[in-house]
Amino acid sequence: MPAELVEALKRKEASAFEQLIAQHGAMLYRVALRLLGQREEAEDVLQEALLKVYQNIHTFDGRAALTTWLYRIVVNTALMRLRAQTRIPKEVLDTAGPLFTDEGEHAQEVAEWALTPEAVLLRQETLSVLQQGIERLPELYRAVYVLAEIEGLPYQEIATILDLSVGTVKTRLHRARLFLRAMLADYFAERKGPSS
Amino acid sequence: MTSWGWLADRLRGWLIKVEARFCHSGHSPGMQHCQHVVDLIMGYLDDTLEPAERRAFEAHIADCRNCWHFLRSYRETVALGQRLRDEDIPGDVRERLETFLRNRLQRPL
Repeated sequence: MPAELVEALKRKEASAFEQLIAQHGAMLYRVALRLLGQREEAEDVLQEALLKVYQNIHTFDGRAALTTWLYRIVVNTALMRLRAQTRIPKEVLDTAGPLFTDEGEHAQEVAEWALTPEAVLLRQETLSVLQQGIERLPELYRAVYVLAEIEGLPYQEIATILDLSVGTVKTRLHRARLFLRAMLADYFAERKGPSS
Repeated sequence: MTSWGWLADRLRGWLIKVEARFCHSGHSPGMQHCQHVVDLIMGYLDDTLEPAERRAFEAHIADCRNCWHFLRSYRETVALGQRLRDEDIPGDVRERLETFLRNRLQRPL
């Protein structure tokens, strides 16, 4: 029960923190890993985030779900670390979408991807390309993308976690997807080669 | 699959256009530009478009090979991202986190 877990966490019971890791550790680790891209860094951020949970659990008032509160802590901790590193300008997304003519039609032919979706989904290499693309997204686009696409959270919950409007969440998700689609399209075009 | 899929979607699109022409006069089903279609893709996948907008979107997709390819690749990008959901926390990381917290609990800040 979340309420019982929260009360046990507030009493600083060791078993409660073990339960927290058992129930929510995977999701917290996944978010940290996809935001940062490195396992060691994800583990560091997770330690830091759990320490914040330990120190601030008394402030949790139950107005939001415990998972929302946990997401917020791990995302903010990861974003702080990302901001201390090289900042990616959001202008990188300006060229993410397809090009259009003045009449609003596609300016270039949109190629069909070389692999079937089933084959694509099984390729570890494709997922690595996607992860590299995620790491090239500016921080706030990356956070929206990870929470929406990978965690599958509703737009409203993401808006609450990141203090954004739902409209901004949708716009950022769409632009992140356009950027990643373009990256994957380049990857498939290279695999296909000029002769085929 | 692609040529049959393409043909099936074209046929479906033509039916949508005929239906739109006879049942919704005043809404030209081919009204949208490719750029507009790309802007609406997320709403289309989330199923939040107005019925008339959805019909126009589908009619355009059925007629425009570039937008059809674009929609398919956008969908595949979404599906690939969702594959990253399968990541679990490694056992050694879990153990280290539990040890870390146990040490903290013995030595409160």
